[in-house]
Amino acid sequence: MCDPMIATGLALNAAGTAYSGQQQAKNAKRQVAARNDTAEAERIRQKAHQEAAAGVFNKSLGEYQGAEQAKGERQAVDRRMTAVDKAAAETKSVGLPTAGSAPQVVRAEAARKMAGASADARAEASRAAKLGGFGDLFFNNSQMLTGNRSKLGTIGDFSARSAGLLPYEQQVAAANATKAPGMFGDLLKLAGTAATIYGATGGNFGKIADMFSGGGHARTFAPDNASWSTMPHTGNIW
Amino acid sequence: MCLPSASVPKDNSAEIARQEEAARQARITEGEAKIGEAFGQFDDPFYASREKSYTDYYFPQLEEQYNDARRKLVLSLAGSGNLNSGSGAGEMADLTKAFETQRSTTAGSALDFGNTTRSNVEAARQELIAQNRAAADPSAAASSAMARAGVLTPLPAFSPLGDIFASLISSAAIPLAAESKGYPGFKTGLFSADSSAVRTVK
Repeated sequence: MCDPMIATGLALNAAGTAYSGQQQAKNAKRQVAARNDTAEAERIRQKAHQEAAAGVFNKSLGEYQGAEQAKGERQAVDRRMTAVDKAAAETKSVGLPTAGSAPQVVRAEAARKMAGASADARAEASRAAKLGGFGDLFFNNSQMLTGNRSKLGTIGDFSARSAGLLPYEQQVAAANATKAPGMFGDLLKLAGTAATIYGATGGNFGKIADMFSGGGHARTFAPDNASWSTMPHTGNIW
Repeated sequence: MCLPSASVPKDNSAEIARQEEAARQARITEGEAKIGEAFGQFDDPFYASREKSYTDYYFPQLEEQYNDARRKLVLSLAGSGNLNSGSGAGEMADLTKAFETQRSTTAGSALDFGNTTRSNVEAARQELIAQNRAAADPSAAASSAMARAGVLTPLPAFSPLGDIFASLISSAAIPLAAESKGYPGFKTGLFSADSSAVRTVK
């Protein structure tokens, strides 16, 4: 039959161990929750970055839709044509200084050739404007992409730096969420150990001292026949 | 019995790092806004003025060359007796077409020049944005932006126009002069054979 003192000691020890384990489990839960909260906060930040980046990308993509490109090309060609028209309108070309005595047929031929030359030059300029307008469209696309790439670069920088902080934040959050374990569990275990030893030795402190010292000198202040109640309290036995 | 548990101070280092990152992002955003302000001067009127500077430089040269070429052509045609001829009118029409085409080309080149300026300005702006991101220092970004914007503002040196109509004049004058001397030339049939220039050898 087990000594009641030993049983009590073992029970106290088990209770202390269970209590400490429970405290550790609670700490682990708090750490996990803290890490999750930090990750969630970062997820929200990253989502905002992602949405901003998606907005820029969609804008770039939107510019490449057929209607937008057609509109851009039309505007570019119109701009070229306006410049050509302005240059043509300001042109001060003059024909041959034909003499008044020149035959009508010669004057008419000269006028026809001059008109033809101007028309040819204008037609050539129009074709060049269309060609140049197409080049302008590509140029404008490139400028737009460059500007948007820069915006994406800034967003990417913000995103990467923010994400880079997450592991450290999680580590610190977990550490901050950890509560220092109370001493209750340790005290229970200590009491259990003490009770177990007491029960195991029958309350003979001399034997207890023997257990830890290997016998001998402890007897000088803890005789074999000394009981717990009669033994002078001389200090910590451990 | 109540034993006090050991109290560990809260670790604020991550919070400080997060605040510092937020401050860095704010500085970058502020820096980009300042770059935008400094480059605000490069708007459509700015590029239009650059394009106008281009045509203001080249059009007078072109007109001067045209007038010069026209004068030479008229003299040449008059000298060869072709001033009041269809052939002379054709030569003048060619000159006119070359002149008008050249004006249109120059107007287009002005737009190309405007595009090149835009490209250079945008490249400088991108470089500053990258630098701002690296430095995350808006005051440095603003001063660099002002400096770069100042460098971009003056007009670059333009090369003067080459002799546009020279080949046209010589190509017109020589055949006509030759024809007036009895050689085939343009074969306009406007010149009667000059006995002093043509001799039939039997």
